[in-house]
Amino acid sequence: MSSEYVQAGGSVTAPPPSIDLTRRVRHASEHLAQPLLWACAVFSGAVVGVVIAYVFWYALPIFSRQALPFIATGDWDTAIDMAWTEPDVIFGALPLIAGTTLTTLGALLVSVVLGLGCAIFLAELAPDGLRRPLEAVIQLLAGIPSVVFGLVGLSVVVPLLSGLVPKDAYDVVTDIPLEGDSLLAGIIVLSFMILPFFVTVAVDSLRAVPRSYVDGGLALGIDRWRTITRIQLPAAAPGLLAGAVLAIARAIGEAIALSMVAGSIAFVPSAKWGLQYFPFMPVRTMASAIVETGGEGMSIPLIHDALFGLAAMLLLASLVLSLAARMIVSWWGRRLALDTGRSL
Amino acid sequence: MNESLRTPAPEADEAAMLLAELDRQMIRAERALERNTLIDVDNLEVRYGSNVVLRDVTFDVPANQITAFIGPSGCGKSTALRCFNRMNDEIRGFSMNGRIQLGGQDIYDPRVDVTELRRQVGMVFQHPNPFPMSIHENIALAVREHNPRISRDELDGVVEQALVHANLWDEVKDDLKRSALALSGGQQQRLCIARALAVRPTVIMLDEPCASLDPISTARIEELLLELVADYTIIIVTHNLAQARRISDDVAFFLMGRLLEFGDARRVFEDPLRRETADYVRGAYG
Repeated sequence: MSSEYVQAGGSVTAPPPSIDLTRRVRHASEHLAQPLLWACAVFSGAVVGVVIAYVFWYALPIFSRQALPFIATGDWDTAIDMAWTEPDVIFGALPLIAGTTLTTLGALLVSVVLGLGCAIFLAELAPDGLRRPLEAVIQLLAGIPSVVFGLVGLSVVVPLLSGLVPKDAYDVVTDIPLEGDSLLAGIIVLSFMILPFFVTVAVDSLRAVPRSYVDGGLALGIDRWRTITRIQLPAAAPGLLAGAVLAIARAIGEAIALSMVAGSIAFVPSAKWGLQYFPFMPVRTMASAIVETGGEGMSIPLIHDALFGLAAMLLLASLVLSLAARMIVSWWGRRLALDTGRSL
Repeated sequence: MNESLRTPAPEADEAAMLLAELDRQMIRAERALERNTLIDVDNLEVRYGSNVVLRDVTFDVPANQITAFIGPSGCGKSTALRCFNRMNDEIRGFSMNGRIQLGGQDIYDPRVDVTELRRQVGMVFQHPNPFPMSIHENIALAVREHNPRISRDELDGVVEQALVHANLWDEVKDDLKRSALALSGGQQQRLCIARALAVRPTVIMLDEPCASLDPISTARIEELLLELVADYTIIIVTHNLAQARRISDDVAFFLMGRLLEFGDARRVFEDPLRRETADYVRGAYG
């Protein structure tokens, strides 16, 4: 292009005026927006940091006083009762840890199996007319308050299970009464609570698998189902794992619903009487214990410390989980993308 | 003139049409025999929903030749290709009329096993799409699906042979466990060809296989296709007219959902029957 500017009449003129770079009055909002956004981000980050530090700080006394017995011994309920009057009580959180672990793993198993089928159907097979309402229902499930789950569990699941408790349980299992409100009831209710978290992430990660992988499989004459299981699922694996971790994180923190349906006795379930009794044993989880003892108990220093000990373990578990999930996902992604291949 | 001749009875009309149709089929059958036709497309019409994307498409693909589909974007050439392995079945709203025969068998017959059809009619896509697995597994996966009881040694043999046929063996033989995604684009595309070859197809269809490749990789693929045509029937969709001219035996020129011209490649390029074809091959549009 010519460097000169020619007007319509044909005479050569000077180039147009240079762009004005002088500072003008800007809107107040423009001055404010950036610092405000910064402040929001910094504040949120700081609150999270403070909460974490606070919990670990207040958990220190119980761990320094009791050390290992706090997580390795089994006396919780009576210790709480005694702590109101006695000055020196040893708390044992093992039953609570067992309760949280068993309910979480059980619910994870149920919701992953159920959720995977659900996710495959939603992502690949469901016709639009069915997919939309189903997805809406599942998202609705995520929004139901846990106390409602607890109430429904208490009025439906618990009575149903109490009919299934082996008849001779009263004579055989002498340590503890077996009722409908039990580990199994907790697992069932918890499964439905974490299902939507897994399904939502699983559907997204299945949809995120490039269509070209699926087309490639189909074009090779691999049938639809095998294409899903042999190509699409492995490719979506990191996302499925992330969904599972999200579900676990949700499950270990659940308190109210489990307090209502899982028996609420700090007891380490045991199979020593026979496996048929195991599902009907009562459990109490760490989160439930905090909720149930929290109010008045916090005025007693010993109980205060013990509950912070539980809170610290819950926090640590979720921090470790999310960190591990990130690491696995990125390691998996790299492995798929670059260096060594893997056989299915 | 006799009254009855001027307005023939409806039955006679029907009979005449039937005869004409029979006659047409006979001519086609003779021609098919003469040309060693493998795929016979008769009066194909394809719709997506209410949108007609192909109409009145009739031609045949001879065995052991390279047939190129050319035409501007959106002319329906990829759609036609995807009819031959019924990949269009996967697209919502797809419907078709007409008939496509592979080796004399109607591939849209309800009794046809689509997975078996797709094994026989292999397909290579526009963008290389190896699975996120090892090079070995990319090929072994489909082989195992079609032959679940194959032994480890046999499988290794099939994988090697496919890679050799696809001119990729020398480049990857030292590390078959490497992820296929670590290969270059050209290598990935040859792996996709190897993958298709490994399940022993009769036809290999390629949908603009060189669209995302550099000229050297493109040349290697073209060379490969010229070698493979001795054993396979090849159909290639291409935007690259020079490529079609270099490697194809027959050319089908599609425009706006119609097959405007079909015939010997040299004839179509040098002496096209239709003005639109002439304009297209000299680069006036598309």
